[in-house]
Amino acid sequence: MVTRMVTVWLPDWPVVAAGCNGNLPAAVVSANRVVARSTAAAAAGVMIGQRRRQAQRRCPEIELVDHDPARDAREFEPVVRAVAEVSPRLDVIEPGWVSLAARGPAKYFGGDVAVAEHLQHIVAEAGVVVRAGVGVADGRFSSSVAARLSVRHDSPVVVESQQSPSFCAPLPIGWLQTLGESDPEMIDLFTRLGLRRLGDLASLDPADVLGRFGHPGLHAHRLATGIDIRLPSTTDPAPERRLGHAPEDPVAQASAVVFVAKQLADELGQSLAATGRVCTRLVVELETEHGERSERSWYRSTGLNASAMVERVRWQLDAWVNLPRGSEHEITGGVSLIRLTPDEVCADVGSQLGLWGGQSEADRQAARTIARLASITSDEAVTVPVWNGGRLPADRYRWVSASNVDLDERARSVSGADLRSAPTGPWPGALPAPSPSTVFADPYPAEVLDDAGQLVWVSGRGVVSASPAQFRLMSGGEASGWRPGRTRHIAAWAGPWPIDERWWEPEGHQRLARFQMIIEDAAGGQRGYLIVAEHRRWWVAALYD
Amino acid sequence: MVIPSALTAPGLSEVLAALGDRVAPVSMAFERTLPTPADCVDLFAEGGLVRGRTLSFAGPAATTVMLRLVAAAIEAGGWMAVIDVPTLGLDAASELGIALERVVAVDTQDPDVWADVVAAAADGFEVLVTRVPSEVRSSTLRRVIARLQQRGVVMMVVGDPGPLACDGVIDTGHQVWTGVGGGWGRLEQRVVEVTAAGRRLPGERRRKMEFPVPELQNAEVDNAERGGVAAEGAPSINQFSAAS
Repeated sequence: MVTRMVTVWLPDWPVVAAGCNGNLPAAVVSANRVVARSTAAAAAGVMIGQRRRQAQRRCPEIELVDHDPARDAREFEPVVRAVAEVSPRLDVIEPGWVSLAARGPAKYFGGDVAVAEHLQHIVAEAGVVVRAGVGVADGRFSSSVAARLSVRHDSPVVVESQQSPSFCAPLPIGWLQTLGESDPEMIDLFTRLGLRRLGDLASLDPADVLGRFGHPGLHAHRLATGIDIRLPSTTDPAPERRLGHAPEDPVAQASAVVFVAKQLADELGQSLAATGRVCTRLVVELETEHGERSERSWYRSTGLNASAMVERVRWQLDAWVNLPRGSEHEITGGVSLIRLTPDEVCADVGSQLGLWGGQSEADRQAARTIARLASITSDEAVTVPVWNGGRLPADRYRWVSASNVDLDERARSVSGADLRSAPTGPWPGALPAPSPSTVFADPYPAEVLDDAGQLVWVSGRGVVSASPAQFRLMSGGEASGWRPGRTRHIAAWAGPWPIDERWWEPEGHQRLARFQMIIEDAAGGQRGYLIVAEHRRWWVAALYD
Repeated sequence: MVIPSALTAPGLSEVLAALGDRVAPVSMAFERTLPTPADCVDLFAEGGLVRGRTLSFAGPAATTVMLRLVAAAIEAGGWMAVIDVPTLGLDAASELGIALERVVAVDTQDPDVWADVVAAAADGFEVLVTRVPSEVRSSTLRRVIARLQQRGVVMMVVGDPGPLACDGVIDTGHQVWTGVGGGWGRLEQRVVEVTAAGRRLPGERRRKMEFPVPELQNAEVDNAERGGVAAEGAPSINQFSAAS
């Protein structure tokens, strides 16, 4: 049987939590992409998923705020407490999105419409300026859709019992992606197969859908037919899965509590994974030495892994600690009990990390580390290479600040294959492989001499004045004068390969000749050099070391 | 293994316990290795680059050999941080099979910041390529090394390791270039004699390495049997001597 659910949804919650005025254009960005925007920004054409620059181009006066999930959760706490007055059994899906079973409250308040109106009223009273969407329907998915539609209608949307399938049928299939139930690739595939509405998908035979799309497809099908597969259960879970820790001394620091929670979450995650299960709804209980309690249940349809559980604990703790002074549930002592209860567990069938393409765990970890490195040094000090092109080794790549590059997309656009084929592409006259492994952005001055000790030079037609025989590096500077270093023997050489670039541009014009040389070092070993002659001066541009 | 049926129940449990001990997973050094190119594994007694080690490189082909050793690990999805080595040739890295989209460079300037950066980079990168600042204190270095070992990160030191005592030294003492003469040809191929020695590399292991790597695509399959035959089809000199 499908449970009737009420969902409360606050649109653009991250923007509201950041304290932005809803009437001015504002957006919250994470990893250089817009994750939420205010109504005014939406009207100016700012869309979710846009890059920071694109958003600024559409709307130059936009206020951009960095994404902070902890802040969203903290600011959401008053709303959760207000809704908890109606029914204590509620699931926080994410900050700005709560759902609860409708049956009890509906009986108490006298009907679904009354509950919905009451909820809308109390959310507004909780001091939130945004319009709240409230939807009532059979199942979590339908009620979430209803809540989102209710924001547009500005009044609660109530879908009558048993009417969820006909309510869902005419809706675009993209709703599955909007609510985070299916990944974009799956929705794209459905659309290309002509399944543009949820009803189209629902009319298929579930066995066929399972055979063709596997479990993610079946999941989408069940939602489209208005059946919520995971019933919000009211039975207690098996007690052995409940994990708790009561520190001997109450813990006063938030970070220490989170640390304990991390151990519990790891243990819980492992014990569930051992039986091939994943927790979709987690109840976090915190209790202080003075008996204050905070209990919250967190829901995620794709399952909560250990790090997601820890994040929920941190949100909850953060919100509790930051309650205004003198309020009813204020925390006054150290935490003496931390308990994680997997309230709803299901078989782990999906959400495998990408085998190729997509983001791997290593990529995600590297992205976090890059952010950390930038905070230790500076944004400009952490850089990634970008193909630039050119005929000299130093021109071929540019280093750009990692914070300005979307590392996720980069993996696809800057694939190694493109780079490796690049030298044969638009740069005729570039040196072929093997390329030098040490490249100097500022070349070292040097001298190349012939047998008689005379400086070798290259004519305008690319002819060498004499055969290069000796080489010496120069040290010193323009001011103090150049001093020659030790003279070395040139064992072999090739060139000159002239370049006459950008002759149309007085500033950028360069005319030089490249040589490859094998120079013997003091011990008689051979070293490969890339040497450049320009206006009777010689430079070491790169080493084949 | 066949368990004799005559064994009584207590005897059986003893046999099973003994078997359990024998098949219990033990993490040996050679199991904690990074993916290593097949033709380089015999440089290391453990059969690969052991995680948590620091290696320094010397000689006229140091950088190339270093890039060659780490290429397989980057190709397999690992990330590489290049700390204070602004001169690294990316074309060469790419030719040796390193995926440049997983290369990040950090510029530190300051020996204290260097230690922090290396310690932080150990969290998210599998390979660090760095130059050790000469002013860094040995107590700081010990902390950095402990961190690298804990995170299982391989650090490749370019240039003089200074106060750092590396676990191994890869010396590229002698190399022979071919393809270039007195005013003709180009640098085409080289054979490098590589010696691996050091504190944690028992004995001295030598082998010859060829660059460019013959048929890089199949290098992982088997490179031992492929002798000194050069890769065919290298672009001719005429293709690039006509500069624009």
